[in-house]
Amino acid sequence: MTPLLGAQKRVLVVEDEEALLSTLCDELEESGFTVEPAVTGEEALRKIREKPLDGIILDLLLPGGMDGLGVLAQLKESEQTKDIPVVILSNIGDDEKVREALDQGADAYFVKTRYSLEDLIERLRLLFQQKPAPPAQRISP
Amino acid sequence: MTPTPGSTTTRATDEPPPTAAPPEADSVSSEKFVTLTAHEMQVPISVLSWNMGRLNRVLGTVSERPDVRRILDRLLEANVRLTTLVEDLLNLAKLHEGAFRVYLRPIQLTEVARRCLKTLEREAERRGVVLTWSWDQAQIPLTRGDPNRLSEVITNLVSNGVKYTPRGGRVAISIRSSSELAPPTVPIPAGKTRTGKYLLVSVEDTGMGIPNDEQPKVFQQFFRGRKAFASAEGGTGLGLYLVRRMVEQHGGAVWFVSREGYGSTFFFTLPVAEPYPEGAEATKSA
Ligand SMILES: Nc1ncnc2c1ncn2[C@@H]1O[C@H](COP(=O)(O)OP(=O)(O)OP(=O)(O)O)[C@@H](O)[C@H]1O
Ligand SMILES: [Mg+2]
Repeated sequence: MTPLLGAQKRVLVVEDEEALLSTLCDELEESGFTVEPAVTGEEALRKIREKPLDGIILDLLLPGGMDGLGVLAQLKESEQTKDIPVVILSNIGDDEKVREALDQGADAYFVKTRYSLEDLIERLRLLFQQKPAPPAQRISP
Repeated sequence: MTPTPGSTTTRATDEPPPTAAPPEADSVSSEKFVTLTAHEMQVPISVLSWNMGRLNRVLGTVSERPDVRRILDRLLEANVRLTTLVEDLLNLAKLHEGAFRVYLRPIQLTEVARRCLKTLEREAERRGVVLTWSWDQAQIPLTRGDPNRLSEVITNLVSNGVKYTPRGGRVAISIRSSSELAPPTVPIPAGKTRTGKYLLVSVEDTGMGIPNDEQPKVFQQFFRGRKAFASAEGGTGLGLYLVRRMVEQHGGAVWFVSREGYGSTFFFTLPVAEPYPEGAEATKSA
């Protein structure tokens, strides 16, 4: 089956603040994404293993044993999941963690207070378009 | 006493670094409290701004009522102010810890600018100030920068322009290539070369301008001009101080020319991204 243009992309949203999570989910669904919510690192990993995903929006500070960096590390360890685009949601003051997340291979970071939801979704779309590059578009010598 | 003719140029780096007095025990804990509170405030602020953005799109399209429009505008504006205040507080706290970071990578500055300007446009319109921008997308190379920080820089400069320009005035933003870090009249740090590949951003307003005696002070922490202070405009005097720190951390320079009663133009430069990433950057490119 060839993916249709505008086929629904499945996005995992990992955020422990309920109000932020539901706002994000509403908006993403409205924009045509299929959304999987998760409030803890453990729940996120379970959902990552369950079904293939097109992208992950990941908060860094999460309750319980596993924070966003932990989720990212596990994600990057497996062949199946290491290429899924990851967008970090951060707060001002999370500098150290953001640095680590980018070093670990996160694709972008968004300071929550700085980005409107529209911008966030626009960036997500771009990220999905860039990755993975279809072989047909490679320039051959 | 002869008034200085024309405009004067002031560099951003001619003030000595602030010397902090040894903090007392309870000033330390109150600083910590402020930081913690500001940090926690980011959650409700994000909830507010994300939902307000959404409400604006929903109501803005279904309701023709002018009072609804006005209510939305006021809410949006208050939210932008609240966000800026909290960001400034947190950035300041970070600077005090010496842990203020920027994450440099090749970015399209025009994209960052476009996004900021879209947000500020409404505010300008409400104040009767015309906000315009121009650049030739094809001529703008990638720059090395941190989009989150640079959007704070642009927002600060443009919102100053809008704030300190009376109704009927204009604020114009341009981005172009430049072959120098700063013009010869602006001193640069020792060891830095003046020539190179840079992007030059200018924010020009037709506003009240900055009096000559205040010009050397505008980049200082908490400095607010006499008129700004006396006016109804809110502010903490942190904006330009943070702008300077952020631009310098990008390896750029910031300066301005201003003439009281005529307007101000703020400039900043950023190094253009190398076409081939080297060293640590190379590990990130797949
Ligand atoms: N475009 C401008 N036109 C005229 N005066 C300006 C302009 N930009 C800055 N100033 C002067 O420089 C001072 C410092 O600016 P700065 O942005 O640091 O603080 P602020 O705007 O007063 O407060 P805030 O912290 O909210 O930015 C202002 O109070 C004002 O007197
Ligand atoms: Mg200001």
